[in-house]
Amino acid sequence: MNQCWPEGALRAYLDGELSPDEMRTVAAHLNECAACERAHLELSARAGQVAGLMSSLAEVPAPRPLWVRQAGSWRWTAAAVAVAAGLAIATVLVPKPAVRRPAPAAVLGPVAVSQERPPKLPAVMEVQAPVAARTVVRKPSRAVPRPEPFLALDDEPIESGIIMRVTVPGSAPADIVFSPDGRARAIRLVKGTQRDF
Amino acid sequence: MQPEEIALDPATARAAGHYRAAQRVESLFREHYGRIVGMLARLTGDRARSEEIASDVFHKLSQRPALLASGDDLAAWIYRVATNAGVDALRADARRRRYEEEAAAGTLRLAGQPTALDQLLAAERASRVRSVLTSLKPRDAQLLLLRSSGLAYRELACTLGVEPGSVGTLLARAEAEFERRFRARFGESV
Repeated sequence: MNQCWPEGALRAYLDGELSPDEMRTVAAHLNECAACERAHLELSARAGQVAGLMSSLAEVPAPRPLWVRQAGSWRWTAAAVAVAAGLAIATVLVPKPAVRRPAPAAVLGPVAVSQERPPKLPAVMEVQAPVAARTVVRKPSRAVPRPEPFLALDDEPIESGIIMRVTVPGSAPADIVFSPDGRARAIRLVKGTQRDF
Repeated sequence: MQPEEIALDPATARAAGHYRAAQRVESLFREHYGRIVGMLARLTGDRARSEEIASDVFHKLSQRPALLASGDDLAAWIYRVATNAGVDALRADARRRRYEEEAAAGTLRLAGQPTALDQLLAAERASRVRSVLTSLKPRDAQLLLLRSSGLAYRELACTLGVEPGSVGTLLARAEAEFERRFRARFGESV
């Protein structure tokens, strides 16, 4: 078989894209024909170079995590706003724990009583009623979020921005500062509060 | 449970047709979207833009009921339209160059770090490859991109609408042209 092969067939041979018969025939021919062998080597070298260059395109930066992302992150901002809105709605819609109920009752009780009594002693009673009300307002639980310092993600000063709390089930929530252009600028982990904010 | 009898009046048949078309789009989306985005991201260097392009392609597909009802190889259609759009975007998108310059500047700022030079070189090489791809005939650029994404000759032929037997020839020519232009622009440092 001394037939010379066209360039396209030699190129397909390089990729193993000929039929098994043709692969064998071309291989045998390359052993005999210096011109085809030269063409084959040339095609092979070029294909390798081009493939190497094309593979450099694989080094596109993959999407970075939210807190490292530098530009074009309006989608993240929108997502964060949506999450925040969802949580806000959830806090409104979720029924309040029954613990709160007794509080107004406890407050109303003494007040109702004080109204029935002659207005002589209210000096003390009226003072007590607000005090009772205040003690029920669950102040201690409000003190839980302990502000951790924010960790800046870049060197630029932060002039304005919004803070979003991002919660991932099973891990501690984080506060993220977004500047108006949508970039994440600073972050802090929120310890000790899983749902209260 | 007994299957219900379905009366195939024209309206029902139309609805069933829509349903099947939607299902076909969805299954194609699941199968190919990720790969297409990856391929376009390699081409354009911009992942968000690639997601937009890929979504547009599937939207276009969903708007083509006749195509969806046909027995055509829709994967080939999707790859063809997506790479076409990708090459167009690469040519038209002036923002890309700005991003790349910013990225390169950012890399330079990090020059103290050990990997900074590698990153810079890789970014520069990718940028060169893109600029040469942009200058090629769109079909050549598509062919090189699809081939480097791992498509076999038969798939390449389907996607580009050429004879399978001519893929080797087209590929050899596209590579030769790519190499020639690369050398012309950037010297011998291929």
